[in-house]
Amino acid sequence: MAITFVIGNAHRLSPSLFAPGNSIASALANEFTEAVGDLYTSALVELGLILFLITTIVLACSKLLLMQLAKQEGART
Amino acid sequence: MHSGNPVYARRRRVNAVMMTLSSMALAFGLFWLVWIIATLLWEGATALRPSLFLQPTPPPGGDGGLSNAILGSVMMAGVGTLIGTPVGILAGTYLAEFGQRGWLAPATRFINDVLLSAPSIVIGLFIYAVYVSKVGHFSGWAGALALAVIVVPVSCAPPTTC
Repeated sequence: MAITFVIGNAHRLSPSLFAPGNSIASALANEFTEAVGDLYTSALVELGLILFLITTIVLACSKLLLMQLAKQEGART
Repeated sequence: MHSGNPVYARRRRVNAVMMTLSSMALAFGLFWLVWIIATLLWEGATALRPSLFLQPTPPPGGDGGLSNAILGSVMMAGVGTLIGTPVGILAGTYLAEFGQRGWLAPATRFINDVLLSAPSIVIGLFIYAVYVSKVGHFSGWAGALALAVIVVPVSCAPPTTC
Protein backbone atom coordinates (compact mmCIF):
# COMPACT_ATOMS: atom_id res chain seq x y z
CA MET A 1 0.00 0.00 0.00
CA ALA A 2 2.76 2.41 0.96
CA ILE A 3 4.40 1.89 -2.43
CA THR A 4 1.12 1.95 -4.37
CA PHE A 5 0.35 5.46 -3.14
CA VAL A 6 3.57 7.00 -4.29
CA ILE A 7 5.20 5.01 -7.10
CA GLY A 8 3.10 6.43 -9.96
CA ASN A 9 1.82 3.24 -11.65
CA ALA A 10 3.71 3.89 -14.88
CA HIS A 11 4.03 1.00 -17.35
CA ARG A 12 7.58 1.46 -18.47
CA LEU A 13 10.96 0.21 -17.43
CA SER A 14 12.95 3.28 -16.50
CA PRO A 15 16.61 3.09 -15.46
CA SER A 16 16.17 6.15 -13.24
CA LEU A 17 15.01 5.79 -9.65
CA PHE A 18 13.59 9.31 -9.88
CA ALA A 19 11.08 8.43 -12.61
CA PRO A 20 7.66 6.93 -11.84
CA GLY A 21 7.53 3.18 -12.16
CA ASN A 22 5.61 0.19 -10.91
CA SER A 23 5.94 -2.81 -8.63
CA ILE A 24 4.12 -6.13 -8.92
CA ALA A 25 1.99 -5.59 -5.84
CA SER A 26 1.00 -2.05 -6.75
CA ALA A 27 0.21 -3.06 -10.34
CA LEU A 28 -2.16 -5.69 -8.94
CA ALA A 29 -3.73 -3.30 -6.43
CA ASN A 30 -4.26 -0.58 -9.02
CA GLU A 31 -5.54 -2.60 -11.94
CA PHE A 32 -7.19 -5.78 -10.73
CA THR A 33 -10.70 -4.43 -10.19
CA GLU A 34 -10.68 -2.67 -13.56
CA ALA A 35 -9.16 -5.46 -15.63
CA VAL A 36 -11.36 -6.05 -18.68
CA GLY A 37 -11.33 -9.43 -20.39
CA ASP A 38 -9.88 -12.79 -19.49
CA LEU A 39 -6.37 -12.11 -20.83
CA TYR A 40 -5.89 -8.98 -18.71
CA THR A 41 -7.07 -10.77 -15.54
CA SER A 42 -4.95 -13.81 -16.35
CA ALA A 43 -1.86 -11.64 -16.86
CA LEU A 44 -2.39 -10.03 -13.45
CA VAL A 45 -2.84 -13.43 -11.80
CA GLU A 46 0.41 -14.52 -13.46
CA LEU A 47 2.10 -11.49 -11.90
CA GLY A 48 0.76 -12.66 -8.56
CA LEU A 49 2.25 -16.11 -9.12
CA ILE A 50 5.65 -14.57 -9.92
CA LEU A 51 5.49 -12.45 -6.77
CA PHE A 52 4.57 -15.51 -4.70
CA LEU A 53 7.46 -17.53 -6.16
CA ILE A 54 9.89 -14.70 -5.40
CA THR A 55 8.78 -14.49 -1.75
CA THR A 56 8.91 -18.29 -1.38
CA ILE A 57 12.44 -18.54 -2.83
CA VAL A 58 13.73 -15.67 -0.69
CA LEU A 59 12.14 -17.22 2.40
CA ALA A 60 13.62 -20.65 1.62
CA CYS A 61 17.07 -19.06 1.26
CA SER A 62 16.71 -17.31 4.62
CA LYS A 63 15.58 -20.57 6.25
CA LEU A 64 18.64 -22.37 4.86
CA LEU A 65 20.85 -19.59 6.20
CA LEU A 66 19.23 -19.85 9.64
CA MET A 67 19.68 -23.64 9.61
CA GLN A 68 23.37 -23.19 8.80
CA LEU A 69 23.69 -20.79 11.72
CA ALA A 70 21.73 -23.04 14.07
CA LYS A 71 24.15 -25.91 13.37
CA GLN A 72 26.99 -23.93 14.91
CA GLU A 73 25.03 -22.84 17.96
CA GLY A 74 26.86 -23.59 21.16
CA ALA A 75 30.03 -24.62 19.36
CA ARG A 76 33.20 -22.66 20.00
CA THR A 77 34.84 -21.37 16.85
CA MET B 1 38.81 -0.79 42.02
CA HIS B 2 39.43 -2.40 38.62
CA SER B 3 40.46 0.83 36.98
CA GLY B 4 44.06 -0.25 36.77
CA ASN B 5 43.16 -3.37 34.80
CA PRO B 6 43.76 -2.73 31.04
CA VAL B 7 41.20 -5.36 29.96
CA TYR B 8 38.56 -3.75 32.15
CA ALA B 9 39.36 -0.25 30.85
CA ARG B 10 39.13 -1.45 27.26
CA ARG B 11 35.76 -3.07 27.92
CA ARG B 12 34.48 0.16 29.44
CA ARG B 13 35.57 2.13 26.37
CA VAL B 14 33.94 -0.34 23.97
CA ASN B 15 30.81 -0.25 26.10
CA ALA B 16 30.64 3.55 25.95
CA VAL B 17 31.09 3.61 22.15
CA MET B 18 28.48 0.90 21.57
CA MET B 19 26.07 2.55 23.99
CA THR B 20 26.37 5.83 22.09
CA LEU B 21 25.85 4.12 18.72
CA SER B 22 22.79 2.18 19.82
CA SER B 23 21.29 5.25 21.49
CA MET B 24 21.71 7.14 18.23
CA ALA B 25 20.01 4.30 16.34
CA LEU B 26 17.16 4.41 18.87
CA ALA B 27 16.79 8.16 18.45
CA PHE B 28 16.83 7.77 14.65
CA GLY B 29 14.05 5.17 14.74
CA LEU B 30 11.94 7.11 17.23
CA PHE B 31 12.31 10.29 15.15
CA TRP B 32 10.40 8.80 12.18
CA LEU B 33 7.81 7.20 14.44
CA VAL B 34 7.09 10.48 16.22
CA TRP B 35 7.02 12.34 12.90
CA ILE B 36 4.45 9.88 11.47
CA ILE B 37 2.21 10.08 14.53
CA ALA B 38 2.50 13.88 14.73
CA THR B 39 1.60 14.30 11.03
CA LEU B 40 -1.35 11.93 11.43
CA LEU B 41 -2.69 13.76 14.47
CA TRP B 42 -2.00 17.21 13.06
CA GLU B 43 -3.66 16.59 9.68
CA GLY B 44 -6.35 14.23 10.88
CA ALA B 45 -7.57 15.73 14.13
CA THR B 46 -8.95 18.83 12.43
CA ALA B 47 -11.32 16.70 10.32
CA LEU B 48 -12.69 14.63 13.22
CA ARG B 49 -16.36 15.38 13.85
CA PRO B 50 -19.43 13.24 14.65
CA SER B 51 -20.72 13.25 11.06
CA LEU B 52 -17.54 11.41 10.02
CA PHE B 53 -18.71 8.36 11.98
CA LEU B 54 -22.46 8.70 11.37
CA GLN B 55 -22.89 9.48 7.67
CA PRO B 56 -21.99 7.31 4.65
CA THR B 57 -19.53 8.32 1.96
CA PRO B 58 -21.00 11.11 -0.20
CA PRO B 59 -20.78 11.40 -3.99
CA PRO B 60 -17.79 13.51 -5.07
CA GLY B 61 -18.21 17.09 -3.89
CA GLY B 62 -21.05 16.20 -1.50
CA ASP B 63 -21.17 16.36 2.27
CA GLY B 64 -20.91 13.24 4.40
CA GLY B 65 -18.71 10.92 6.42
CA LEU B 66 -17.02 7.55 6.28
CA SER B 67 -19.39 5.43 8.37
CA ASN B 68 -19.72 2.69 5.73
CA ALA B 69 -15.96 2.18 5.51
CA ILE B 70 -15.60 2.17 9.32
CA LEU B 71 -18.47 -0.30 9.80
CA GLY B 72 -17.11 -2.43 6.95
CA SER B 73 -13.66 -2.58 8.56
CA VAL B 74 -15.18 -3.66 11.87
CA MET B 75 -17.27 -6.38 10.16
CA MET B 76 -14.32 -7.66 8.09
CA ALA B 77 -12.03 -7.76 11.12
CA GLY B 78 -14.69 -9.48 13.24
CA VAL B 79 -15.70 -12.20 10.76
CA GLY B 80 -12.12 -12.76 9.57
CA THR B 81 -10.90 -13.19 13.15
CA LEU B 82 -13.78 -15.50 14.02
CA ILE B 83 -12.98 -17.80 11.08
CA GLY B 84 -9.19 -17.60 11.12
CA THR B 85 -8.20 -17.53 14.79
CA PRO B 86 -9.52 -20.98 15.87
CA VAL B 87 -7.72 -22.68 12.98
CA GLY B 88 -4.51 -20.81 13.67
CA ILE B 89 -4.53 -21.38 17.42
CA LEU B 90 -5.29 -25.10 17.06
CA ALA B 91 -2.54 -25.52 14.46
CA GLY B 92 -0.14 -23.56 16.68
CA THR B 93 -1.06 -25.76 19.66
CA TYR B 94 -0.32 -28.87 17.60
CA LEU B 95 3.05 -27.48 16.55
CA ALA B 96 3.97 -26.53 20.12
CA GLU B 97 2.83 -29.83 21.67
CA PHE B 98 3.74 -32.43 19.03
CA GLY B 99 6.10 -30.49 16.78
CA GLN B 100 9.38 -31.90 18.08
CA ARG B 101 9.81 -34.88 15.78
CA GLY B 102 8.67 -36.15 12.40
CA TRP B 103 8.49 -34.36 9.11
CA LEU B 104 4.93 -32.98 9.34
CA ALA B 105 5.61 -30.22 11.86
CA PRO B 106 8.70 -28.72 10.16
CA ALA B 107 6.86 -28.80 6.83
CA THR B 108 3.87 -27.09 8.43
CA ARG B 109 6.14 -24.47 10.00
CA PHE B 110 7.75 -23.74 6.65
CA ILE B 111 4.42 -23.42 4.85
CA ASN B 112 3.14 -21.26 7.69
CA ASP B 113 6.13 -18.95 7.32
CA VAL B 114 5.55 -18.75 3.57
CA LEU B 115 1.91 -17.82 4.19
CA LEU B 116 2.95 -15.33 6.84
CA SER B 117 5.31 -13.52 4.52
CA ALA B 118 3.17 -13.84 1.38
CA PRO B 119 2.04 -10.40 0.22
CA SER B 120 -1.61 -9.93 1.16
CA ILE B 121 -2.36 -9.09 -2.45
CA VAL B 122 -1.46 -12.67 -3.44
CA ILE B 123 -3.96 -13.92 -0.85
CA GLY B 124 -6.54 -11.57 -2.38
CA LEU B 125 -5.85 -13.12 -5.79
CA PHE B 126 -6.30 -16.58 -4.28
CA ILE B 127 -9.71 -15.69 -2.82
CA TYR B 128 -10.63 -14.11 -6.15
CA ALA B 129 -9.74 -17.30 -7.98
CA VAL B 130 -11.46 -19.76 -5.64
CA TYR B 131 -14.46 -17.69 -4.48
CA VAL B 132 -15.22 -14.48 -6.37
CA SER B 133 -14.81 -15.87 -9.89
CA LYS B 134 -16.93 -18.91 -8.98
CA VAL B 135 -19.73 -16.91 -7.34
CA GLY B 136 -19.55 -14.23 -10.00
CA HIS B 137 -19.53 -11.07 -7.89
CA PHE B 138 -17.49 -9.36 -5.19
CA SER B 139 -18.83 -9.54 -1.63
CA GLY B 140 -18.11 -8.89 2.01
CA TRP B 141 -17.76 -12.63 2.56
CA ALA B 142 -14.90 -12.71 0.08
CA GLY B 143 -13.19 -9.93 2.03
CA ALA B 144 -13.74 -11.73 5.32
CA LEU B 145 -12.40 -14.98 3.85
CA ALA B 146 -9.26 -13.25 2.56
CA LEU B 147 -8.75 -11.72 5.99
CA ALA B 148 -9.26 -15.14 7.61
CA VAL B 149 -6.52 -16.63 5.40
CA ILE B 150 -4.23 -13.80 6.51
CA VAL B 151 -5.15 -14.32 10.18
CA VAL B 152 -4.39 -18.09 10.24
CA PRO B 153 -0.57 -17.92 9.94
CA VAL B 154 -0.39 -14.87 12.21
CA SER B 155 -2.27 -16.57 15.06
CA CYS B 156 -0.39 -19.82 14.42
CA ALA B 157 3.13 -18.35 14.49
CA PRO B 158 3.78 -17.13 18.08
CA PRO B 159 3.93 -20.51 19.87
CA THR B 160 6.29 -21.92 17.23
CA THR B 161 8.92 -19.19 17.37
CA CYS B 162 11.46 -19.88 20.04
